[in-house]
Amino acid sequence: MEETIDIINAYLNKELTESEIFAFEQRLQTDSEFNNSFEEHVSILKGMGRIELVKEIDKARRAFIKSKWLKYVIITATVLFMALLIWLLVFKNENRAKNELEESLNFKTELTQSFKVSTDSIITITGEKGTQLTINPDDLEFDSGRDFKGKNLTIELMELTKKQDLLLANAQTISNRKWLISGGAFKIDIKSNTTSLRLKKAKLLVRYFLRTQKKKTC
Amino acid sequence: MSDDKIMGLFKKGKREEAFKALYKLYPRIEKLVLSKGGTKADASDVFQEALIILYRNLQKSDFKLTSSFYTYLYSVSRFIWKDAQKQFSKQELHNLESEQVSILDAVLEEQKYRLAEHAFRELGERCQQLLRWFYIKKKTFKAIAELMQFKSEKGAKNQKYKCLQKAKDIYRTQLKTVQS
Repeated sequence: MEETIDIINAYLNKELTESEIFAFEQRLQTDSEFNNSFEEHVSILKGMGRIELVKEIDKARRAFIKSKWLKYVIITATVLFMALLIWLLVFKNENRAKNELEESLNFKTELTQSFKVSTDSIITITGEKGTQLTINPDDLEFDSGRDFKGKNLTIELMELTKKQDLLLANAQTISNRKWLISGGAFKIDIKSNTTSLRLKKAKLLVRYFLRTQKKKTC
Repeated sequence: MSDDKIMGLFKKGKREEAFKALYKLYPRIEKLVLSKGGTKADASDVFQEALIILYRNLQKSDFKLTSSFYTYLYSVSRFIWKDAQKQFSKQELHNLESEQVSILDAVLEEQKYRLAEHAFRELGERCQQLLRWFYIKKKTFKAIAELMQFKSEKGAKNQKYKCLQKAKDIYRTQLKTVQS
């Protein structure tokens, strides 16, 4: 039996000469017992070979499962990251909209009207759009809190009473992609030469919006 | 990865990498087995066998893959599962095309090898090691005698023969139980 296995091994390892191979293959055809031994031997060898194959396939399977989970993790992380990014962008945009409104109100546009007035009596001016301002010069002070005693004043008035004006001044207030309905906006700068003045506390500056007949105070 | 690239991996002997690449086809095979009443464990088993059969065929010089890996693995998997469920009718077997016959043939062959694998796994650790060294690593009896501390080459050879016979005995018994 051991010789049979030796010759089978030699055949499988291609260690036989051409004539030996021929004889071997002849014997396989004619000797059924020999053929069975050969088949059995090959089966055992192939079975042995399976151990390595199964191990490799199992490794491949685990790598596949791992990569599948990794994919889920990456997708989830990406979605979360995008959500954070979008949230930040929207949040920032909201802030920027606010800043833009503030900036545009500080800008001098063609909508700004300038009035030069003297301070010897109560000042009354009327803007083009009908805004009426009444200012008592005694109520004015410098930003530092010092009383104003000058003789001349420049009053700059920006009236934004229509949607177009708000748009032109880039001062429209947008919330949720819709315009806020507003009676309009205005901005007043009072200056002596180039120094800004402000109203003393609790002194009211009264403005009339003639267009809407609404009385606004601040 | 394309089929050509996977084929390249097999040719370069990078079996494990090739199997990894082929695993992307697994979800579709799993679907097939699940749809035929199998479990996920069955599907995993079927796919493993299909990969082994594919690999064995690629080793053969006269084998030529005429379809994509997916198509081939799909039909092999279908045969493996159907055969495992003993669902082939005589009529069906009679009507198989030659390509299908060769697939079924490979499936049945591999079942025998699987039994042989189980027989081999039942051997003691030392026997398994000895046979692996001789048959897979192609070590000489001289080297094995040194590694396993046999007194002589002859001692190693005798032990190898005994181990092999033991594996064959177990295999024969298993084969009988399956066939009866």
